[in-house]
Amino acid sequence: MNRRSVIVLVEDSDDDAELTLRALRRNQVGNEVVRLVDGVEALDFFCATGAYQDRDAGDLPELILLDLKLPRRSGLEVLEWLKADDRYKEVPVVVLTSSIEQRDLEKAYALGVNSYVQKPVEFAEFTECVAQIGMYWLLVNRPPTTLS
Amino acid sequence: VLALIVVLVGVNGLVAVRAAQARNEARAESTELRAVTADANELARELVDLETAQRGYLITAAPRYLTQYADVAKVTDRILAHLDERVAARPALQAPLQDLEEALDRWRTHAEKVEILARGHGLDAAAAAVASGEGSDLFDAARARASELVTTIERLADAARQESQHAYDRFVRVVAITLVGVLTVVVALSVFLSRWITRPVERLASSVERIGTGNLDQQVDVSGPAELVRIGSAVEDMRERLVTQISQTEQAAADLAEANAELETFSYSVSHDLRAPLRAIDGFSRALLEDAGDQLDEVAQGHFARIRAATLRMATLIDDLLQLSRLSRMAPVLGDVDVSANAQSVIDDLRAAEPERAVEVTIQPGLHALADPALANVVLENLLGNAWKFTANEDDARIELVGEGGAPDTIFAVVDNGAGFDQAYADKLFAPFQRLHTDREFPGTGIGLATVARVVRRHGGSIAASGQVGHGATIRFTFSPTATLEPRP
Repeated sequence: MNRRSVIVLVEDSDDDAELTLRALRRNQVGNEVVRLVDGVEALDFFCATGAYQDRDAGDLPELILLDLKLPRRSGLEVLEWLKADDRYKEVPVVVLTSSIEQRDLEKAYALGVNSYVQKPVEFAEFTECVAQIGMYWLLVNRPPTTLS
Repeated sequence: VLALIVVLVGVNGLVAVRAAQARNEARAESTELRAVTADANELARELVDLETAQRGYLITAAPRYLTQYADVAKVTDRILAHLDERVAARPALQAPLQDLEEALDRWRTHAEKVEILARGHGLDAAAAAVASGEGSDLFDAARARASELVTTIERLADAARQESQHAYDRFVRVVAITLVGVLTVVVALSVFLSRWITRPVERLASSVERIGTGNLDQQVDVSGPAELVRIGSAVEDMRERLVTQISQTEQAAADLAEANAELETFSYSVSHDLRAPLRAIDGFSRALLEDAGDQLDEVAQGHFARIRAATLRMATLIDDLLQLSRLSRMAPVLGDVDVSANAQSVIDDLRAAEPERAVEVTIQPGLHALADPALANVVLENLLGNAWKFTANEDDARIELVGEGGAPDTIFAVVDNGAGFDQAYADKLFAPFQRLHTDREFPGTGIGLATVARVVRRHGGSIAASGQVGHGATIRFTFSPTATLEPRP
């Protein structure tokens, strides 16, 4: 595992963000996690604009965990931007959401989401779920280009 | 229109009758004139006889010629008298007849003078008088007058014949005109009827047919006779009311659909927003136990376990409620459902989750239903899950799925020998959140049977429960709108 590779977590709830980080740590995922609180901040980060204008826009994360119900710009808008962008479209995006709404599910897959997961309420299950996501997308799955 | 025909036929009839009369009169006149011509011709012959008799006497002086002369003169006078009578009504003949009579009188006066001369002075004197040619001239004049009379009469007869012919032509013409006129009126009448009655009736009929097929966009054409206008207006009123009612119904349906969509969005938001804090409660309780569990005594750890159990129960409640509300709005998509196979698969899952339990399950093979496959599965999962749950305390737990009657009117029954329930509360079983057991006895949300009942009713079917405390429960249901579910004694 490349130590420099970054996981981006777009999550407005501090609780959920904290629990996700805890679950990742429990599963020995050592990647740096960048947490972004809403759709606008996420787009600023990806485009290297606003607060993130000093960031190298070509520096791609290895995995994006995306909540859908976000303030300002929704997760679906962020997903649409990511999958329309020539570089970002190859970065795996896993939607992590509290409830599965059929319309959101269909829209997300239409936009090209890589995975769609409902966050379990029980922490043990949640931890297991995050572990599986990390295991699969960071270790099992092979992206088209080697990120280094 | 009838008056027009009557007037036309009446007037033309009069004209025709008069033409026929005129023709008859002209023909009668013509016949009469032929008789007059015969008289005139006879008169001309008698004149010749008269002159012959006179001449015979003058040559022979035989008295029989005088007698003959007198006889012929009498006949002549009779014919003249006859002619006078006939001519009285015909002024055109009076003049020539008078001329003839005068010429005849002059000749007879002369002839009788010569005769007297012959009687008194002898034949020589008479011969001299004859030789003078005066008698001959006078007789020629009389004859000329006679032939003039004949000519005049014949002319009149010709005129009468022509008049007769003209009257006949007139009669034919009038009859023809009448026929053409009546025909025209009849044609005009049928065109009028078509324009004024038949076509509006046809238009109205096609309007009504159009409305009958559900096309309500076009206005009904209200024209034509008063009765049709009344019918047309009534139909148009009906159409307008239909359009109004349909648009109201559509509006109501649209409002309902909008309300449903809002409700759906609301449900998901609620579900999302209620689940997030639950996840935090459970997650941080767990984190606290993991991070500082060694500092907590057993009582405190037990409290944490209760917090987490309550959290999960609430999560289940939210999920069940969401499913109930989703199923309520879902329109069933009917298909063939292999009930026996699906039930077996549900039982397999239950056995896998609790392998330690020994339950005798009997599923009648070959059961089918006409239902929405996903919804039918929800029914089986809940009913078999309930039976599984409520037989937990039985040593010889038995669950049975049977069906009466062939598909699609099959009435299914899930029978168990579990905890059962008081029949007095049978109605309450299918209402949401209604529980007949404490959570300690049997865990549950009280939404399962409400969901089952709603699914069954969404299919148009029915459901009933019967049971006895401690002696198990039987839930009978059918997806068929036509099958009747008699409550079991």
